[in-house]
Amino acid sequence: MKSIILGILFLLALTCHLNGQSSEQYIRSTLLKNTFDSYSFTPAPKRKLLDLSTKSFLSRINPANYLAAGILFVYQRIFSEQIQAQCKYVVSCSEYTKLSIQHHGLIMGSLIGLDQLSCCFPTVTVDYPEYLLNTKMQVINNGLDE
Amino acid sequence: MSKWFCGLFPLLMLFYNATSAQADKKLLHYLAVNKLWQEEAAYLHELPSKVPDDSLHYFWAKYYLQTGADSFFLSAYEKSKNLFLDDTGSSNLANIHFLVRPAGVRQKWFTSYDEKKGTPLSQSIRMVYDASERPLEANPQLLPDKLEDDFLQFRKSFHHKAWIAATLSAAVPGLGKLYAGRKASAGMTFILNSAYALQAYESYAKLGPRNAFTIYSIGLFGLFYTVNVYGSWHAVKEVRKERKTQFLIHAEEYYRFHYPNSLYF
Repeated sequence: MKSIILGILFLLALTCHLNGQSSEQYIRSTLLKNTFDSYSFTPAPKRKLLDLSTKSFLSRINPANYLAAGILFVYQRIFSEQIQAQCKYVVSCSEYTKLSIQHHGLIMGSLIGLDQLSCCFPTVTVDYPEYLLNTKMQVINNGLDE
Repeated sequence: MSKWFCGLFPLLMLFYNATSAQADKKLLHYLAVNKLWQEEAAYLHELPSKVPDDSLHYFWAKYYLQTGADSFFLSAYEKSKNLFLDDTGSSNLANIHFLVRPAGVRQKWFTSYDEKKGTPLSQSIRMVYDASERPLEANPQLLPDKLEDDFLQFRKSFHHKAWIAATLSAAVPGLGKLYAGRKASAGMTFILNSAYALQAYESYAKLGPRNAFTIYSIGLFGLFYTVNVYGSWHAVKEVRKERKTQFLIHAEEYYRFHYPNSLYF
């Protein structure tokens, strides 16, 4: 009988201890979150190279495609991050150009990308309807033309 | 409280289903209003086999309509078409819901929708859909007053031709975009092209045609000039799509505000 009571008491003590630990952890994590959340650093999104796997054989071996991909890769990985580029579009101009090249081919894709680049300035938002603007007043340009 | 509810819910359902052969609309309404999707799906899964097939599909169609699973909804709707169309509240909600869905799904819904059982509201929504598909044939006076301006803007964009925009841009950079309705972009394109043209002209005049910088400047100007022509052509098509979507979004907001419908009452 004694051992049962002792066992129950031990379990109760253990539960209290674990509860205390979890609440302590909770307080610690909340404190850390409240103190350092505003200083958190969001790393630049990982960007893929040009994906031409679904394209024809000729576009896969076309060196111009790879040259364009290389230029965009260097820009995105080095220059864009160094100059803290702030694009007015949700899909940035370089990313949009890359996607356009992937989708429409080198010539048309470059034209579409450069067209967006030539219109990338703060007041461009007046040209777009409300539903295409997000809370940061950026233009949502997710869809590419079929 | 919610943990207790989640834990007891399956047990309650087992007990409930054993005693009832009908779906409880009040319970479904409660689950729908509180967005308890998992619980609603669990309840529908556990409905007894005595419930007729078409009414089961009817409840599933309502469930998918709320959760936005369009293809599942269309499948369930096809299996319980008569029952669903008799329920005017649900069919009106589906009509309003599909106004702002992707084009393929929207077309599938409105072509499968049976107009014979339609209410005046559903006929009005149908008119809006038809106007969005064939704007040049639609009569704007038949649409609700508050949507007339949006529709006229949308229809105006259909009168603009892409080749005219491209020609205007070739004549004066940026003019095509102005024609398409993008004023800010037009101004910027004009400034950009003028700057490149001036740079090209100046380097040609001062450094001569064989200088590397002149060739570079002329090339850059040529590239942005081509982009401007293509961009104007592209802008006309883009503006059409944007105005159509804007018109449909406003129509959806209008109908949701003026004709509130509920799925269960």
